[in-house]
Amino acid sequence: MNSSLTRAALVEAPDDLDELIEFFHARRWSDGLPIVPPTRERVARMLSGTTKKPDDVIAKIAPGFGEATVERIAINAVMAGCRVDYLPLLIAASQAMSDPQFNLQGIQATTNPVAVWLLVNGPIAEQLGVNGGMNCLGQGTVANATLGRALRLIMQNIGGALPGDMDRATHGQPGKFSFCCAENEAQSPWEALHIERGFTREQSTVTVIAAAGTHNLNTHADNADELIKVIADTMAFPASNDYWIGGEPWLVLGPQHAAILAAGGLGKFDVKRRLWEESKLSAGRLCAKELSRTQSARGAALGTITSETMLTVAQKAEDIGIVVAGGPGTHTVYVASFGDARAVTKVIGLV
Amino acid sequence: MQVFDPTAPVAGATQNLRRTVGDLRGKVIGFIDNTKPNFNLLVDDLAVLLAERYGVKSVIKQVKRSVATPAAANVLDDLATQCDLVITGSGD
Amino acid sequence: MTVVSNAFIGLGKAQARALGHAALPLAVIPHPFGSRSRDEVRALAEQCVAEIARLAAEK
Repeated sequence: MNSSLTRAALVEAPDDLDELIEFFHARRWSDGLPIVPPTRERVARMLSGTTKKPDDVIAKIAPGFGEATVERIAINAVMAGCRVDYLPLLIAASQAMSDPQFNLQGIQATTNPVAVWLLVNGPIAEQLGVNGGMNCLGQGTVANATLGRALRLIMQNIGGALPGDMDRATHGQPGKFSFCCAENEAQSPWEALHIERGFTREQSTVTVIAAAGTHNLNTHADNADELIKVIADTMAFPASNDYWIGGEPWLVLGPQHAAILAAGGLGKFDVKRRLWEESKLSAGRLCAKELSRTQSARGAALGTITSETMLTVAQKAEDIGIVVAGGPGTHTVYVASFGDARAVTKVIGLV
Repeated sequence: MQVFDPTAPVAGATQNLRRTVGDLRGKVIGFIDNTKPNFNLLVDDLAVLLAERYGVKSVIKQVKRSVATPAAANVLDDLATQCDLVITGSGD
Repeated sequence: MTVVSNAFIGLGKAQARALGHAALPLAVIPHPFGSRSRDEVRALAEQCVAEIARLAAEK
């Protein structure tokens, strides 16, 4: 491997901080917010967060297929304001999003607003202070804010998806600045996501999810049947990628809602199955062009699709993702998906 | 001060040369329909026009499962073997 | 070759370059395309087929 391609270049930049920030904006090396200057010293300190070598190539990031070396991940982590011990999580996340089943190529270049949601499980969430409680998808937590931001900078700077150029998003969404939280494992009545996906309780993982947006569901439903019904009804809207493709939508159940479902005797898979059954959408609610796309995408599985066909939100009930996160309150968040992507979970290698 | 450039060189810096197909008469043309609205109709019209006006030998039409999903490897292999030119779609 | 609606020319060129095919011919049609009527599609096909033939012969 040619080291001039794998090692990052040092460039001469203004000493004045204000001018330096403008220098980064002018080169489109930032997300529009001020950055922490990635000096030799700061990047060296960030690299002490891993035993991997700076020129180890972790992944190639679509759509430009730039090489995400450990060093380049560290540079973007510094810029985003990450702490040194966050680096292994970003290395795992870079691996995860380059897995072919995540379809980063589609995610990066689409007109869809899709953001990459980082979901953290296991002991590392507490160690790094990744918030899975109150306001976990909002502002105010260093880890949530800077990890999501670093991933976006990696996607933009290493993957080359600049807004308006290769990133063709019609609107985008605020989650493209940062979209990161932990699962509130302590308050979940069920096994945590990483255990569901075959890892052990002691392992720490990061899951990358193609999130088209967040939609709040505020309901005072006080029993499982009512709660399932209102959540399922809200999931079913016709201009959704999930119905025409057969997607992978997610629910971030508030702990109170999760407790109601568990008290109703429902396990996590029971909830998935009930939501999958009760969120069916009549294909007659789709416009004609969507119906035609649905036939191309789902015809092999469903046969001839007519306006009478009842479409499921996902190809199978298991594909509905469920995590418990957030604080007290009667809220759950629905995360409609890009549709053409499947979440990928990777273990976070500790040092 | 000195700072690191956070970007990566664009991969594939080695560029393949353009291949000229030349006159379309007697050629086999493949299409990969990306499933975007109207592209199937455009492909149908182009297939007729390519045969009538340009004398192409045949047109092979393939359809992707959905727009953001790559065509299956065997579909790509088949088209590469059978066609002189393959046309894809991008946009809205 | 790729048929591309003109709002996507930049992506098409950048993507082709990233994949090592900077010279990929792009046959450009007007954007938006998906909302056109059947007759409009026919008219665009007339223009597009000439462009395809021209690009195929281009050295």
